[in-house]
Amino acid sequence: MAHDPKKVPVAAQQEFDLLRWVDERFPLTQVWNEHVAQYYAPKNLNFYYFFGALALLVLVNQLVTGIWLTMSYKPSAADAFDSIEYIMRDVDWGWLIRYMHSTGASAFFIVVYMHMLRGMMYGSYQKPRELVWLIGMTIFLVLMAEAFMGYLLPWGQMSYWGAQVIISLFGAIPYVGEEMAIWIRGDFVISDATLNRFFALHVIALPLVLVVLVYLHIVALHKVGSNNPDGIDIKKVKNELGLPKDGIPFHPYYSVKDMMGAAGFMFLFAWVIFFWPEGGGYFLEKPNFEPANPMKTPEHIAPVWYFTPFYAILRAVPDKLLGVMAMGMAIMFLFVLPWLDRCKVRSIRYRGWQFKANLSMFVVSFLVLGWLGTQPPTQGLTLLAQIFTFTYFSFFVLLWLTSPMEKTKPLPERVTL
Amino acid sequence: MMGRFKEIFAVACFLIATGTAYASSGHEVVALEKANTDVLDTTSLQRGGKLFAEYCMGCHSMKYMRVSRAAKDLGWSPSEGLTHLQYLRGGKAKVHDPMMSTIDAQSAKLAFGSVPPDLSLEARLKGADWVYSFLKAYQRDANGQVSNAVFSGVAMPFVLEGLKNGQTPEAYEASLRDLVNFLDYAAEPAKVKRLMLGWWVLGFLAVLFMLTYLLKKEFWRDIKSA
Repeated sequence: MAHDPKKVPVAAQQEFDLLRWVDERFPLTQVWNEHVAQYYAPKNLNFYYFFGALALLVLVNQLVTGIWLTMSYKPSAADAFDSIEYIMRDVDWGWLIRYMHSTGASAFFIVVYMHMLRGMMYGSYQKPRELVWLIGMTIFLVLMAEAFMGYLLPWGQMSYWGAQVIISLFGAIPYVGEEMAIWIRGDFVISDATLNRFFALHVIALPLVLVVLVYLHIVALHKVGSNNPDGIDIKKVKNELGLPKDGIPFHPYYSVKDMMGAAGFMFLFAWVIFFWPEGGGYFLEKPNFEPANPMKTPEHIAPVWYFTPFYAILRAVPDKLLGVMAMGMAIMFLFVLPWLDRCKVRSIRYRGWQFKANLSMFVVSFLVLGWLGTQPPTQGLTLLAQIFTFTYFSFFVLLWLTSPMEKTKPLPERVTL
Repeated sequence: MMGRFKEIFAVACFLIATGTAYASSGHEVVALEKANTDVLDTTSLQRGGKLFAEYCMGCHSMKYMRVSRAAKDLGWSPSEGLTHLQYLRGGKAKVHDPMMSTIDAQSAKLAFGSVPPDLSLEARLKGADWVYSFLKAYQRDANGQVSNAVFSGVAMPFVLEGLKNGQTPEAYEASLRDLVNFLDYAAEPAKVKRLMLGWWVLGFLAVLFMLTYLLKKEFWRDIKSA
């Protein structure tokens, strides 16, 4: 039978019609093109640019495993701990789902911290991406609340006492503090009432907020376009079609690249889940294998590793209220980064020595503080925490002071591969 | 080029700092001995399970460890599981029951001054190395006084003394390892499956990574040459 090119096969015709039928009612093709197939991203995005997509992957992991965990978890002080062991032992694949979720929490912060470091290295927060950064910082803040509330749910000793310590910080606020702490707990101590409301916030309220914020983060990003390791604007050099010469469509180039990144990440993630789920006592803390006991305070209370840099800052300040304020400021300063950095050059590649030294010191301070926050406080360690709290904050001050007078290198016209 | 160098430097800082943090995080008072247990060694788990039933279950329960589950993972039939793990409770124990001790909390408190803790999660709470070192640290001096360097003032008597005296030191250490191995297993029964399945998952993901790498390379060929 001769092939007639004018004759479209019936099946293809129907497919075509279906897409058109949808497009006439919903901008499916338009959205796909605008955000995926014809979204032009710089072609020089490097290793650090995997972490945004990976954060999305981990978010989906947390949402899906979380749904399955709620099917067997019991949010009550009497049953919570037992129900976790029930999941670990009696629920088919419950142990795997639980480890995916508990390891996922740590993975989320590793990925998000790398994502934020990327933004700081290449000046991704600078004009015109201030809103992308602000929405991102809000995601970080909500993520911390989400992780904190989720950590109470296993109702182990560290869950209980960690929450007790952190919620009691509200008591430091003058006049209304104590009342506020009671209002948050729904009781005078962490109790069944607290567990119930944290469960509600952890599984419904905050995930909804997170998903909306992530959506806004991407919408804002796609409005201004992705930054890149050279920190230059790819829209300045366009071809005859008006497309950036250094831009490539997200799909298929970055979709296949992110698939590779996802596979690499999942390899490491699976390695932890199957061979190192406790993460050396950092992902699952030993004291949390004992049920919460309000009558017995553990010798040493430390939050999970991803909060320890901020916890170390809190403890470094001798006064409770000032400590809480310092901890809050440590995060708030990150919010205003786009306005503290007055340098016209974005990427660390072309910035002066001041910025390179300053950012290096900031990263070191953050890591040392993170380690200090896991340790019981001694006089020597508290002094060390004070020194690194000082260097942590000096980053922001020095950035504001030195950024206008940095001796920057000339920017290239086109991105470097 | 300098830009690349700085990026590598930043990552190096990160790795060094995390490495230091990890290396100096252990702050035990007494140096612990390595338990060197292996939950994939089923015969060791069987010996450990029997030792636990014989020496520990007079006082300690494992309320999260079902007899049927332990029997299955240790290669026993459910009735064999009952025989080996619940013989103290005689005909009262059911196959799907957890491994319960016969002592009641009140008499335990009278006899020892404190209620013997449930040991389901002990190996995860304290770590297998701690449990091993703790059990090994029991000693009776010339005056007949029992002491324990790992846990001074512990309420538990030297229960394993009979076992220790009836064996060579090497055989006793091996028995302790079997016992701790069983405790480690009971703290996380899924560990057996987890460790065996892990290699298959990693193998699959390694292949997936290779394929996605090749796919990426194929697509990006035109970008690199442009």
